[in-house]
Amino acid sequence: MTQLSVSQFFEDMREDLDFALVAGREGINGKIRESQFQKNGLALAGDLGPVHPGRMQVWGYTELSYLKKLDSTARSDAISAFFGLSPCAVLIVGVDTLPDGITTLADTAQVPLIMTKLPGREVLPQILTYLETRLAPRAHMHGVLVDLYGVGVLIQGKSGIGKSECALHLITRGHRLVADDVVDIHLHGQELVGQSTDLLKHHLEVRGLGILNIKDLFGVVAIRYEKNVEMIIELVPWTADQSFDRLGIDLESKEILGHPLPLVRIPVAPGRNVPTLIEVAARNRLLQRMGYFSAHEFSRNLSAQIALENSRQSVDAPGAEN
Amino acid sequence: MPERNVTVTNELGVHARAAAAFAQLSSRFECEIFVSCRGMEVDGKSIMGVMMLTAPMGAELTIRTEGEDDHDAVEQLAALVENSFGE
Repeated sequence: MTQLSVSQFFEDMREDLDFALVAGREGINGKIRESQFQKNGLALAGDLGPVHPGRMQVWGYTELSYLKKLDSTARSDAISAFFGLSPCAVLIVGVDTLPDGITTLADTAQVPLIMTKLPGREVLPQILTYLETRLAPRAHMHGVLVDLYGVGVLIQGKSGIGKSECALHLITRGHRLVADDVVDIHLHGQELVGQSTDLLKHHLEVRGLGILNIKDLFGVVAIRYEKNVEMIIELVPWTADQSFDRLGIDLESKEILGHPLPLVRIPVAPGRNVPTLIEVAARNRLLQRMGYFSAHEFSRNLSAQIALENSRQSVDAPGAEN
Repeated sequence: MPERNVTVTNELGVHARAAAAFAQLSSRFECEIFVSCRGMEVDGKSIMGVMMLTAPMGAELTIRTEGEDDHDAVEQLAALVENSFGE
């Protein structure tokens, strides 16, 4: 299961959201396990049941004004009971002062308290998006992710079969590189989103040329930061007896993170212009997305033609029923 | 140069999948393979060609092979047609 340390969360968001760590530094290596956050009004009033310690806990003006109303013993009891559940962290939004005693209790319980003066309506959507992305199911796939006419195509195949060369060729034809070699894919709702790892971003390694910076060589139009992965193209060595799909009626698929993606296997051999084949596969995918399957259409026409021949034959045949 | 006449036995005739099966099997042989129906002859290794025959059930196909493994080829292809293309 994916998880994220509170310290990572704090470092990543600190600048944008003006975060300050005011207490509970000892607990900073705790883990956030869920992307949702919780507001704690009722929990502080004593209803602790629904608190998920693996979620970011959020206090705003409502929670603090309630706490300020309590006398110091009741306040300290309420907070201690809440911290007793070991929540991964508490994010306090939209305020600049805390009631007395909270920081000491947080230090003792080792619950990190992160504060920001920015209002919740600004902070919360941002942390939700961030946490959803960071905590989404994720996989690293070997291959090259390219955007062809708006279709995210993951090109896979054994090392040395020419994935990067293909990608380079596609870039020279105006398509866009998302990631080479290691594609970081995460699930966003029902979509698989692919991006590059930070280190490899915009780079392509081609045997004989070395590591190329695509952004510098071809400009910003030749790259993309992320792209939904919509189909997989697998480059396979040409073998005489391997039966490749010759009709395109049966669509193969392959699962990534439990989601099936259409798979097209393309045999690589001298004289076959693989980038063109990939480009056409992407165009065909666009057609299929609109519900038009060339092979099905063709097959239907053929069957109709055969049926026609069949009826002609039975009319011509001597002794056929009339 | 072996030659064999076979009758199409499956209900749908030589439809797309059947044509693909025929061409796939043909491609495994070294020899040249021709198949004809109603006077039209096509290359047995070409799916588009075989489909163009639009051969319905009951139609007669003539398989003609030429080359190294031609006897084997004609036997196996005839068997494929007689077995309704493995359907």
